[in-house]
Amino acid sequence: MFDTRVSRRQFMQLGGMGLGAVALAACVPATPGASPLGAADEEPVVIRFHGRTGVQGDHFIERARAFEEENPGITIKEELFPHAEYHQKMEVLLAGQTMGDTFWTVLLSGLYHRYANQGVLLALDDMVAADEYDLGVFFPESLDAASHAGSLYSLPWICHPGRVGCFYNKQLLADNDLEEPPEDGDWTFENLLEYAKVLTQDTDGDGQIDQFGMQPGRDPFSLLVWARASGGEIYDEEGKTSLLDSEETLSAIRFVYDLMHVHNVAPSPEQQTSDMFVSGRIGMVQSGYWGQSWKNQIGDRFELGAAPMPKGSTGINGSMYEFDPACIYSGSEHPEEAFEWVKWLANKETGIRIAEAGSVPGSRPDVWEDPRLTQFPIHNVFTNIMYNVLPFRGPGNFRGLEIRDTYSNGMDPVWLGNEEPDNVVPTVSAKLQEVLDKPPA
Amino acid sequence: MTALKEVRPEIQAGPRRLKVSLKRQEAITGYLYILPWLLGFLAFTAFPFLASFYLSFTDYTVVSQPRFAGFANYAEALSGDDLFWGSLRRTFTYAIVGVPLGIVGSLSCALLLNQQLRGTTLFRALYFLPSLTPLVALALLWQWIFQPDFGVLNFLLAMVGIDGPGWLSSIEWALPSLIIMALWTTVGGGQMVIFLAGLQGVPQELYEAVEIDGGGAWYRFRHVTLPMISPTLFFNLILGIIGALRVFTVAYVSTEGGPAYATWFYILHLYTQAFKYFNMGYASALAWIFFIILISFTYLQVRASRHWVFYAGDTG
Amino acid sequence: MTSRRPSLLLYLLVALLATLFLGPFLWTVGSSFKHPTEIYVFPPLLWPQQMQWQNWLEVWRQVPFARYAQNSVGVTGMAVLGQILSTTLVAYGFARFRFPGRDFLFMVVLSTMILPFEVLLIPQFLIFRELGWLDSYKPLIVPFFFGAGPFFIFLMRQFFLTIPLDLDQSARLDGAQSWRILWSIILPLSLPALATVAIFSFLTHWDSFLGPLIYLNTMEKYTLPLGLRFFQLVADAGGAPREHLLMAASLTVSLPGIVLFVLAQKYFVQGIVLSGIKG
Repeated sequence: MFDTRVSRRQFMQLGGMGLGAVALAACVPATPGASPLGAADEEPVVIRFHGRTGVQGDHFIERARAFEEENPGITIKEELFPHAEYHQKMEVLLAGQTMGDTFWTVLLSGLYHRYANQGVLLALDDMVAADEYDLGVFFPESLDAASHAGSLYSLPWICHPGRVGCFYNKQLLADNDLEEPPEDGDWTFENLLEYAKVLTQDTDGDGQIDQFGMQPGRDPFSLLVWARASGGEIYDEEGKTSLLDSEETLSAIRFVYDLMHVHNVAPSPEQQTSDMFVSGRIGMVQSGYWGQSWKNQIGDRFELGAAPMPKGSTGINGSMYEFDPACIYSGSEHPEEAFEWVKWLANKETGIRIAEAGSVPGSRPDVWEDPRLTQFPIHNVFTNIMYNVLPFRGPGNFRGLEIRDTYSNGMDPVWLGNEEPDNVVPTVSAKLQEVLDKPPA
Repeated sequence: MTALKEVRPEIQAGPRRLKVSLKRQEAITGYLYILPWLLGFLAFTAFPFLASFYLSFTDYTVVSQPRFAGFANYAEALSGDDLFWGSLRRTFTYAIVGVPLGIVGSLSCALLLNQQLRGTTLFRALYFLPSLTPLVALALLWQWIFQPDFGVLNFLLAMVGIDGPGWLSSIEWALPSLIIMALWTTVGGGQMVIFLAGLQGVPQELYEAVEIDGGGAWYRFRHVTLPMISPTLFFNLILGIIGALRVFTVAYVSTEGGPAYATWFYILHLYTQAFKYFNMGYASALAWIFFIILISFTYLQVRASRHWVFYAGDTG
Repeated sequence: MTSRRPSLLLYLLVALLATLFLGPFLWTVGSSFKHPTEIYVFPPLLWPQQMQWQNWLEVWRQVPFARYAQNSVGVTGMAVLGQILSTTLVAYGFARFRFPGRDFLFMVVLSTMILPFEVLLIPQFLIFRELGWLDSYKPLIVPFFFGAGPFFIFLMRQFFLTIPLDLDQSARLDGAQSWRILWSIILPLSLPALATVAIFSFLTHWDSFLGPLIYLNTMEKYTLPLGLRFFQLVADAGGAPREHLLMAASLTVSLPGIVLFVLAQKYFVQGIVLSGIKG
């Protein structure tokens, strides 16, 4: 009974023997694995698509209708799931082999490459070749990031250069006679520190600081921006060795720590609240392209500006190319039609529309250069970064979520000021190494 | 005790000896009544139970086929996984503090609302409101209350001269914060309603009997109310403990187990292993370890309950 | 009879607790009428400066909320019906009859409440796939006609056990007679219990998120708890804020629960007048 390899079907039978047979007899059995579509013969091919609800979900719906108008033979059935449980749902669909034809997934969690590695994704090389589809329209980095073991497993839907934006409150800067940070990113950690010092104030004179200078991100990808500017990395190119405790990365961690606990110009996580910047109590904040959406919450309280995060000791600005892929399920019965839809998601108009909706633009220079987007000054700041973006790097065993939890919980004592970086980082790095040493997920 | 003595004789006047055929008839009737559950259990639950038990001995990443791994998952949990014992300890801490507070709180609210005060109908609804708040709203709501800087809680504390902590973002205070959050949502919720219903079942004449004997409020509570509602108390206690040890949602929506694993509870660990780290086999082993702990716990409680739970309609 | 002084104290206590429970809830209400720029301000605003009534309408416009409400009503209605029917029978069986293995089976009922369902999710999904029930409401309804929900069986059994035996003697009767006893004596005495089960069952199914998430794919079939998530903002996806809409939507979803609770109150707080029956 306890064979070394038991398929799902086998243990279905195992459980089915004698179990529930009575109660289930009355129920109509259906063909397993069939998608619940009930498409008749002459109707258009239905392509199922999974994405997450919210701003992006609304966008998918809009683009699906536009696609159907141009492609009367194909109907897109969008199945959107909530963000927080999206990947749980994916696992269940995969376990039941009831995955939709096409779906959205993410890069940083390692899921995209995990799926590619596990054979869940359809390799697109043949279809790209047969279609004479021009991959040159994309940022070259996207093709690197989308490839796994020499094959292309998706077309990019959106992309951005990471948590590279130093967003600032123009009003606060002006009030303190500070020039706006340079749009080309030609400023240094030290410049930023000086800005932050000026902006950090006790505005009501009660002896407690109530306005801070700078709020750095706490996640590993925010730290990566500081680390790369200092010549450091979180792990090596293969994603097999932790470099968190390398001198370069450690120096970046020390700098961020000092902002919080030595210079006291950044709120420690214990003081920090999500609304501090938006409500005007913080001068600068680190975020990504999507930070522009804050303008909706800020209203007319102040004007939002953004510059690249400063250069570190290496003289470069830190960044990392990230994209959201549109994939085809390897079990899809309509790969050709699915490919049409994936191409649609990667086209110029889609790339512009999603940025207009408040998310991030498509992974094509022609999208980033389009006048519909270049009219926004902050967009152009990010475009400049895109042209010099540093490559994506992920964990070699695709355990990105595990890396993230290990990093976050391990580094909390540092950011909270309970421990000095030098005491904790080697331990956290060892923990990361333990995760990286695990077999592929 | 007088009150109880009054009812007891009737209760004990149950069936003395039954004929065999009668016994069989009773058994058959009993089985017939529980048949729907039995069928449902066999159809929808038994197989998943067996499957998860089998999976706990495998290496199963969901995308690939399960591979038999012997006791490796169990060994990993008990000796290899840093977070196993830590999460178990945190979970028990949460339960040991949270359950008594919850039970006492709910019972007190129920007693208060059972006093025939004017406007009780309104108050009952107000107490119940928090438990109706959808989860997504709850997460945002508490973020606002616990805001270290100018959140309501620290604002109120500041008024009495206390410099409040960072609550959810503090390693020391995150766990207590979640207990507060859970109490707010549940004290006036289900538990309280069950207590209320239980209190309604206490016959008035028992109180009157005590009143004649000259018993005070505490005496009434101790000798009439408490024994009479012991079945509901028992229910709330069992459910309270199971619920507390299964604590997941509050941490999932607000802290994600942090900071520094301060709220990394057992079920959160299990969920993370199953759906974030793709170790479904390992998660199944965690589930069965948890099951064994909790079922023995529950069994002991059921055994112990015979000494303190009083059923007016016990069939023995 | 109680004197006047303690009763005033009681009032104070009751009111104080009510404030504690109501206070945070009011913030939800206030936020649902805020303009997006008022959500994050310093100092925080409990109440908007200008009521944005349209938030509550916007909820219905942005998401097919009416559709989801309709689905929720259907699924909840059926599931609650099944739950009450099967729970009553099963709990009656456990509370009033002696049969071999009863205590063991009851432990099995309790144990289904204990094994973390997270690891049952995928095997359960496979069963419903084999049955061809995916993307239908059947997995959300049918099990409840078959005694799913150990909590309710346990709860109902506890209530039945508090009803004195000499009132029915059902154990000595055959199936048909015991059925009549259940119907004409036990159930009328169990109105508080039934109301409690009904309310909890309603709330459980009305708020159920995981079941619909796992089993439904077609968005037209979604229920309200899934629909609520459409208003949740993803941190790094950008877009216009929706917190104010989320609050309005959340309150809209909890309204039926509030109404039902108020309506059902008189049943579950209605005392059982034993003396009349004892005669």
